[in-house]
Amino acid sequence: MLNAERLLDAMQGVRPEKVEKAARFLGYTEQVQPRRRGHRRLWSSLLVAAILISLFTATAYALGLFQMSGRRGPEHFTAQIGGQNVQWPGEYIFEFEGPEECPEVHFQVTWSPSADYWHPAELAEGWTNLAEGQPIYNEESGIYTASCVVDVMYASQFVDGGAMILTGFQPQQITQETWGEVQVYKFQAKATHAVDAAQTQFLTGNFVILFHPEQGWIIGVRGYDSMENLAGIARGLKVESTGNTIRRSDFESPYDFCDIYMG
Amino acid sequence: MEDSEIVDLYWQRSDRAIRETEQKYGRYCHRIAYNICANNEDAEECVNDTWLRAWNAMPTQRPATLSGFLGAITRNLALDHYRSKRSRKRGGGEIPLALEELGDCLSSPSDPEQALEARELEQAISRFVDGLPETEQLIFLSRYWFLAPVAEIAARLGCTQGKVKTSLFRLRQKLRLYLQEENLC
Repeated sequence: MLNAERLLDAMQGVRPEKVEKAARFLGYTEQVQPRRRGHRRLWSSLLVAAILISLFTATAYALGLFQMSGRRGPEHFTAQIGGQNVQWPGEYIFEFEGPEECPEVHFQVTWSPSADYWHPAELAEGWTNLAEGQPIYNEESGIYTASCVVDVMYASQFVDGGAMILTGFQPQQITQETWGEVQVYKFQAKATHAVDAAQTQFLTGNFVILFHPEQGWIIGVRGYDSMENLAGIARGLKVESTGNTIRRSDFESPYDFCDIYMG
Repeated sequence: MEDSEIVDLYWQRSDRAIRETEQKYGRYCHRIAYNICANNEDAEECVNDTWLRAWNAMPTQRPATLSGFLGAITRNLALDHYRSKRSRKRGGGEIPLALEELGDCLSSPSDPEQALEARELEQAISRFVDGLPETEQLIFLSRYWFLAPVAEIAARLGCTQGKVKTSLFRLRQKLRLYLQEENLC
């Protein structure tokens, strides 16, 4: 029998209550309502990445309806996912104040580093709420890494005790700019988890975070592509309202992450 | 109906036992079988065989967790079904992908000194799972116990498939290291 098959068979040793929990999580044993917002993520400590963070200390931005501030962790947050209580470690925490609702937006990519940059290309065409670049091969680590991920979050998800949590990444110096009405935060962040078994290789990702303090949306443009390319993508984004309203109650969890993952 | 009541029906040798089981766990077992067989007809066959196995097992068994008990039977039957099909040069479903992913977690069994007794490995896997944070447990078991597609896990988590793949990659690394530490590979 193949080695992997021995492992598959050995899964039978897992305690039934663990299996039952996983079955509930998958919705196999009971009806579980899907999340209203499929792209909303609640992600675990094992993720390679995270969100912009708080090397700038407890700064409040009173330019508009929403305010954003950052602070250092570590701290643990407990949230429910699929009916299960899950703990999320946060090395850095980003918090928001403001209304519990805000306009939903989507974006359009108008500039790309290359013609075949996006994967799948259809996802990045037209108006969308998620765009992902083709993975790039990292010679040093021998793995594929995400070139770029762009998606939208909303400050209304995080108000009143919620947070965007940085886990698994240490941001270096954060620079702040203003592009029209949008606050822009750029930084590099070094992963705190190695990508090799010898625990010697730590990747560094680039982050460009756009925050609109009046409308409450946050768009993360991040990945292992160059800062120059990511900033170019971010600068080229067109953002418009969908006409819908996002409410805090739309989200299963008041916590979220903006991560980079390996392809 | 409560699980304990269903189990009582089996012990009473009541025909209702299977009807109630099918009603409560038919979809559950079918999902497990379908993930492995990738074929409705084969999955249905495994599920029907599950009821038969359950009927033959109770009594004397009185499972504490009926879903786990039935799921394990279905999973075993479906894996056997898959192996039988593969031997006939067929197959499909999530198994080949999951096997490929897990392939580097154990060394070759050709060295008899490193060959594992199945029970030892089961216990090690159980300890490994117990030691994972809850979300990692869910992801790991979803993929490698239930053979759920990555897309399905991603949908449940509300994240991209890439994120799930990343999580699984790290979990396999952890598992490999764990098995090495335990001298099990």
